[in-house]
Amino acid sequence: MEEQSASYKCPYCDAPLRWIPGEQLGCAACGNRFEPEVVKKLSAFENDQAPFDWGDYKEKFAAGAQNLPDRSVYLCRSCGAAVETDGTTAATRCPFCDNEIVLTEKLTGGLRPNGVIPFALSKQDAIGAVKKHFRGKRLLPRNFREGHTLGKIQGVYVPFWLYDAGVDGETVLECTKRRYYSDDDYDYTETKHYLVSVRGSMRFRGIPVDGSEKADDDLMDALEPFDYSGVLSFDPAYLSGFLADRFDSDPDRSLPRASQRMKSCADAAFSGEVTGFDSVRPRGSNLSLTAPAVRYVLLPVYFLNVGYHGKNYRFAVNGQTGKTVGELPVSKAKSLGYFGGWAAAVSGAVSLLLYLLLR
Amino acid sequence: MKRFVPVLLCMAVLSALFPAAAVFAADYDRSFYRYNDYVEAVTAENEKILNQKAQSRIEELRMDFPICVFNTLPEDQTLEDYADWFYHHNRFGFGEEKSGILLVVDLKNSLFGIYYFGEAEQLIGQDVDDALINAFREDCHNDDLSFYEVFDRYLDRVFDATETARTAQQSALTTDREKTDNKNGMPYWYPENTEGFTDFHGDPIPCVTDDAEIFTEEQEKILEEKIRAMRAELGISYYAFTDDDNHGLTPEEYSSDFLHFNGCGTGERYGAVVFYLSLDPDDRCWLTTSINSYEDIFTFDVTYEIDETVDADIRAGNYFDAFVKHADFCRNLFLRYTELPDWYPQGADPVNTDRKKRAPEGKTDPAKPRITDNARLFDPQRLAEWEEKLGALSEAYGVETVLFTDSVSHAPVAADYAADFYYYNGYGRDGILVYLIPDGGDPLPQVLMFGDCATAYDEAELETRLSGGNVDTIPAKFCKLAKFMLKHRRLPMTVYAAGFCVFCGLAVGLPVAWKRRKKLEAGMRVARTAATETYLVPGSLQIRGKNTDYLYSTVSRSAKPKPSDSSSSSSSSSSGRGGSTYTSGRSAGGSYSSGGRRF
Repeated sequence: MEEQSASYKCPYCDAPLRWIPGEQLGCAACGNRFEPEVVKKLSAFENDQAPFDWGDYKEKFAAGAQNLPDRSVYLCRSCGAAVETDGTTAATRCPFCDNEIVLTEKLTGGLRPNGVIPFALSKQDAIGAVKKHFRGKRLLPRNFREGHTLGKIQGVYVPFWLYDAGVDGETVLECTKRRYYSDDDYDYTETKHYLVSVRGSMRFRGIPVDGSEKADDDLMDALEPFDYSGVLSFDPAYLSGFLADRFDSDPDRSLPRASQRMKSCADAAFSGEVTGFDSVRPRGSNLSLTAPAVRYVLLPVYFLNVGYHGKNYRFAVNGQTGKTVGELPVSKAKSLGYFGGWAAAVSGAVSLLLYLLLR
Repeated sequence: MKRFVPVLLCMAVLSALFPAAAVFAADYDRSFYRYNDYVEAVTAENEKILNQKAQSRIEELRMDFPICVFNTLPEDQTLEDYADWFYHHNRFGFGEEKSGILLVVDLKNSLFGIYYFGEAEQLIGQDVDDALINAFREDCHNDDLSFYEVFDRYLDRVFDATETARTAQQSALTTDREKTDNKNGMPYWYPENTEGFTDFHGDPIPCVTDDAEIFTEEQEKILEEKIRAMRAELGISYYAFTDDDNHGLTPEEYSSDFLHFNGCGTGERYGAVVFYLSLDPDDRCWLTTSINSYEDIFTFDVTYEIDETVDADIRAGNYFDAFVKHADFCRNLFLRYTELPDWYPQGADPVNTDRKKRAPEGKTDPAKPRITDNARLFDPQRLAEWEEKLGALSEAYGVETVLFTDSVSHAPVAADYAADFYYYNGYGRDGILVYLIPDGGDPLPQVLMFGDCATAYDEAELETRLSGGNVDTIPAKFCKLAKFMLKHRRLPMTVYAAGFCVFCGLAVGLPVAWKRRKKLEAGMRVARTAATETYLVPGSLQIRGKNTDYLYSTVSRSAKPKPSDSSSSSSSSSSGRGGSTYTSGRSAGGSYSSGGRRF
């Protein structure tokens, strides 16, 4: 099946346009810059402006996304090659001519995001962020730092659900107060136990949970926070030059992760209201989400995979703030060296101090 | 006043610099002149004479006689205030009560006062005080007398007054004792008021007091002569005492009171010993009770040996033989304290010497012998080598480094004997003396420090370092340690202490290094998720209510630590064998009763 696709061409030289983070759409061939709105008008691309409707997303999802095939084939508008992608890919690059492709069918109707945060960092900035992430990591193996290829870094718009919801209910705590007194023979400790319940409510806005099965949840959580003031109305033009996926984990599946965070936060906040006790221990809570709502946004993330000693190390860079996350390999030799060095230095200092005091 | 402010300041500085003087002189402090003339009322030569005269009878009369002559008082001070300050600031006074009579003369204002401190307040009556004041006033108005003569006459009068008062005090005591003989059922030698009793040492009683009347006249005479001969030969204060009634006291208390209330004791430290046989039907026993310096001689081991010697005779009823054997034993015991090494001065009394009153003086003399090995504990081949090393140290650092050994101690306490060796051989003010006196036991190294060394180093620490291993290695160890000590002003660290330092270092260093490593490794992992509070809508937190319900109470208790029981020390008299008792009798003094048995 031939898929409908959209690509942005330079109005001047017809070369592919790419989004230059923080600026405009740019042409790599002639160097011209264009406002996305202008490019859109010029483009024959017909954009479906219907906003993402949380209320009946399931219906739309059923009508649109669920019917999407697991694999898609599209024709490159630049070179005419047939390119096969998986069912979630929303923007990619032609492997033959490197033309930027946005699969508009996966971003329309019920699959159209509510918003997008465009990449604010360039690829070089992202590489710089990764290098900064490596800096100061004393246990990083020397050949890992030198041997990897940072140029393989890839910008991807990752689908996220932003949950808005209130939490209402009560948290129950077991608290104790202690009193000390003595007689001639004994010291006494009297401990009084109380059951304290705190009722209240609070509201959260924009708790992000990634909607992609492919994305590592820990990495995506660690990339937070994003600055939501940078969320713009979705426009496929921002996707040009980057990869993009549509969601493949619906809001109901992702909700438990968000609700757990909200409940934990509510428990801690309610417990903080209890004062005047010597110890406070949670016994349970009865909390419920109220007025939940969700928004579907694409958030900018750079990914970098580095193979080292047979293991793949994946790094992610927040394309908006530059925050970099990812587990780094640990050099055992360096780890032991630092351990020994610290042990020798501290032990030596303490021994010397004692020697000076006791001599 | 301004004229003698610098003098007073100097005195204050000197008193701060030489606090040790007060330590060495227990009965009275010799640091300050007794005649203090801030206006040069007499010549320097006469000042010295008056000072010597004032000091000459302090010990005899147990009273201090300082004089202070100055020009004028500070504006805000009375003569009495000044006298009180002057007396105590200069640490005048004899004995624990700091007894003394101070004459203060303000020449400019023609004022004077005679002030009494300590025992003098009770001893000198009002009439005597009036007489002293009137006589001094008359002398002051007598133009034929110089200031020197006025003060000289004052001293003569105050000496006479004190001597008279002392004699009256003694006779009053005797009178009291006689009066109370049958009044309260106590023996004739008991004072009426034991609480107010002041110790005296007149040695007025016979050598044998047989209140139990167990000796025949002839036996008593023989025993008396024997003890007198012992006293004449050895100068010891020894008594034999029997009684058939302890008057409600324990035998230890009763015998101790016998010594104290009868003024027993000789020498500077008034040592005395009594062999007491109690035939009280409620407590038939015998024991040897010693006081003051003799407590060091009659240790538990010695009295046990005495008890073994007299046991059979007393149980057989041969009391006289037991007393004779006891006296013979004590004579033999005291012989070693009279047959002294030749470095003791003529007439020295190692038993009763008050060593607190003296301190070595003079500079270090490296030419003096460094090692005196009378006990022959060390390798004679190497003595010269060690002698040379210790001599070099003494010369380099100006500190005496001396090693002394002897097979027996000629003083009751080995440390006193070693101190006598150091003192009478003229070693210098600052020194380290290591001595080994086996006295029938193991030769353990012990240490005495003198002068600055006493404050700079720890005797016990050096003893510990020298102990252990072969005795023959002690001189080499002493040479090595003394060199380090004198060079670094401390002892080298022991292997154990160094190991302790390393252990503590590792105990701290390893956990710190482990934590640091874990922290570094944690930095290599994925960063933590941002706090959910970030997404909290500002102002949305609303607490609607808070309920507090009481559930239950628990009470736990822990026992308080108890103070450790003080060791019972009253077993000797009741058990008959073993243990020892330190008894504080009804008098002010204490005594040591050791051994003794019931029969």
